[in-house]
Amino acid sequence: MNVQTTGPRTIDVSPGRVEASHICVENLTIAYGALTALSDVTLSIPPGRITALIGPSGCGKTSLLTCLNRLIDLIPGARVTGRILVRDTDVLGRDADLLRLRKRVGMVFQKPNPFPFSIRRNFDIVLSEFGVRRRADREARIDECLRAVGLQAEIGHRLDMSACALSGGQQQRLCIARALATRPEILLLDEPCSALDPMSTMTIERLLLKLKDSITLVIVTHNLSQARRIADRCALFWTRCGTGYLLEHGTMADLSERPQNQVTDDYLNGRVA
Amino acid sequence: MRRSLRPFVNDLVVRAAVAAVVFVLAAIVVHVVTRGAALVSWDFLTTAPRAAGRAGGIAPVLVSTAAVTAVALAAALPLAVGAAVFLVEAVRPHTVAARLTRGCLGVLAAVPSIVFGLAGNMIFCDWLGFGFSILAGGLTLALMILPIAACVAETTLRMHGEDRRAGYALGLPQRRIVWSIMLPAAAPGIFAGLGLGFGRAVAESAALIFTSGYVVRMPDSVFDSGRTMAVHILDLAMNVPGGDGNAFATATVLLVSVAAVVALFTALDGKQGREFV
Repeated sequence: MNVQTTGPRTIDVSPGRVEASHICVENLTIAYGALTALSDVTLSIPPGRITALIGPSGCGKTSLLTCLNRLIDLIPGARVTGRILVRDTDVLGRDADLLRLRKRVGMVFQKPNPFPFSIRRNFDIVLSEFGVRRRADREARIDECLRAVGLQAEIGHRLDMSACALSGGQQQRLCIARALATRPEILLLDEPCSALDPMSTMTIERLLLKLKDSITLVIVTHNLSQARRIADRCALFWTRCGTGYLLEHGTMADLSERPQNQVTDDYLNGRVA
Repeated sequence: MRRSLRPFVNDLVVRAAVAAVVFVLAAIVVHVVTRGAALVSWDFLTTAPRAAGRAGGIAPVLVSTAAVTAVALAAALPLAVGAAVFLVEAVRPHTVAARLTRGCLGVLAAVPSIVFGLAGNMIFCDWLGFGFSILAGGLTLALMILPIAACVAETTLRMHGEDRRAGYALGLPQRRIVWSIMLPAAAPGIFAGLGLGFGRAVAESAALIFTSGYVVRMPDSVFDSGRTMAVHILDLAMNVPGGDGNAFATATVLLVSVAAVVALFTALDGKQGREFV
């Protein structure tokens, strides 16, 4: 599918080359009221790759993810300090255009959440808002998005049925297709397969591997096998006194074979929970 | 209590509670319907009362009831939805504005209907000059329905928090999320809340005596006075010797109407909620 991205594809994505980052997180701290959920995270996420955020529950992975598209603004009492750059856009800036940012940085949630309307309406709401007014153009874009997630053959002929009547795996792929309708350059995925059966999980993993050619993907997962199967890079988060922090990050191969921390080695090999 | 007895006692308490609820409803329905059903006929529904309601039918009373409840629901719907959207979308949960709005709705819910009647008489009949009219009665009832309708609407909108979050994650503006996603998704629940409100409105008498009046003629417009079924029942039972039969017949029609409308709104409500197949 035709997804507009602006960055070069063949660039050095080593951690030291900040200019090669698609997303650059600097000294990010997130707090909910008096509780600091994530402390002083600095991380660069390269374009056209799958970056997995892993770690035990409560270490701030999802909080970090929701900062990248400022969805954290919806949570009362959340405070964020530090800096996040998506290309040249200062995400946390006072004058950040949130609607434009979220159009560029799509998100898929743990639980499939299609709108409780028809499949077609799920797309029409998004497309009509973003200026795709002609019916023929909308049909073409729906077809394009459904093809990208492998749903065209399954549901392309019954677009007027309720999206909630689809299976869990189909609903999640529909949500990915709906997120692709805005032609994002980054897609954030918060444990997208945790509620799905192994077959649906495999389908979505294949889909993500295909999508990474055109979109930068950031995925939160508790499934280490999944991270090994699909991720190019990995960031391991840990907790200290209830506060999350970034323990180690690098390529998946680096973390698996040459971990810098004993905890990383133990966690990736299933020796600690 | 011995551990082995607990499930048995719990089960007994739950069954007794269910039986009590069913018994009270059944007793009322049987008491009313057995005395009134025989008098309900097509003529009863389509003719005007005669002899102060002892004879004849309830045609103008039915029309007045429909008009008063229609005005009440039409006025309550935008107010309730507006209040619910305000609480869900416009203000943070613990701000002064949110607390004040919830507090006002809570106080409104606790106000006795006779006080609503006096306030409605003062505001709508006197200050706004509507006089004793269906409009004044309907607007008074709208204020009575408002707390429950707003509360149900807010709860239903919050049930669709995931749709709201998905909308924001897609970069949709707030107006689009409210109008195109949350309100259509929550519509069945909102109408269920109105259904509950309808039950209260159609059964109300005290507030209407001071606002819509109790003349039994066929109303010409919403600015005309009119007598609702509940007021008609009250009048026949309290002021008209020999009016008991028609009072029970009117009560039967009222019960059937309420049951039909509640069933309709419940059926609508049952259509909401997502299915994960």
